[in-house]
Amino acid sequence: MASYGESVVVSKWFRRGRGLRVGDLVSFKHPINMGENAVKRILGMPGDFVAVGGARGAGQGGEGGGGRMLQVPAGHCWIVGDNLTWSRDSRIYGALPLGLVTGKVLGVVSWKDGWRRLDSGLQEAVVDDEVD
Amino acid sequence: MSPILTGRVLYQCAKASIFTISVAIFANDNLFEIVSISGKSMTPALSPDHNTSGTRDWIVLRKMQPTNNIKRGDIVSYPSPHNPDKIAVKRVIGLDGDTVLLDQRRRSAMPPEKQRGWDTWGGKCVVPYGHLWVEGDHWSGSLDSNHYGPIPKSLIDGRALGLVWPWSRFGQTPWTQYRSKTRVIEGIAVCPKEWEL
Repeated sequence: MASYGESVVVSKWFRRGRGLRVGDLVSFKHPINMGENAVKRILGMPGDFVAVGGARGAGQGGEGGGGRMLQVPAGHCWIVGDNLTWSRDSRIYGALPLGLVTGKVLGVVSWKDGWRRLDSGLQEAVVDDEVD
Repeated sequence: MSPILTGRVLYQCAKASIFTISVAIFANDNLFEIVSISGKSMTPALSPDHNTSGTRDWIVLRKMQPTNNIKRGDIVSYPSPHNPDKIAVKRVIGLDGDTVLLDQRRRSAMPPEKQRGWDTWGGKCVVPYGHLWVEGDHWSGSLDSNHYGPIPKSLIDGRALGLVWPWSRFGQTPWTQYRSKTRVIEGIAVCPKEWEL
């Protein structure tokens, strides 16, 4: 998604955590700035374990001795933006209550490209029974 | 009866119902909502007879900008942080920037594993920017900020205006006389540097 100039279509059926899964892009009310909405991706649902890396932008978890692992509490989700270096998300303000989630992003509309459907990017695991 | 007449009547009824239902849904979500208070966390201010006779109070909530001019002592409604399908109705005790000194009496009513969680606060909590500390009036049976900490202001979706049922107390706000026993040191909230535009 571009940083501005594009609109997203949000389905409100998925509000408050209904039917949401890891990998979904969701729109939510900002927990700190009132009146603002934000769009980020869910990386952890309640009960999942997430690894929070060292300093911001320092790469994969555990580097620099600051890495730790948290379990997402009941009724919350862990959201992270795709642009890891610049995204202000759960790595800064912690788990997001699902009550703030207003819906799931179905796709993006822009003047240039028209309608673009956004999928979660996760594929079903393929189990190959023939390989040992 | 002529079939054309019946068809037209049905069409008019359908149009009117759809219009009315849409307006009602819009009003319910964005203007005012009437909810019933079940549970004893807000006794004696709300639903005082819930345990004995099962009668519940009904209150009307204001849904437009519920946190505009919010004051300590207001009753607010929000989806519960641990279970977003349930709506919790509690009283605002601390605004952002306040230091809340946790009420020891509430700890004694909790089961041991919750007491350990309560102890991690160290007896007080500074409410962060953009958050509120909410508590139920009933000190021994309330799931509130003592359990899950301060809640974001954006989570609040309604502020109570008055009672609508029982009819004898229509329009009253019986919760305004309540003085919470939780001590609060008032403070000013500072927007953290990262969020300043």
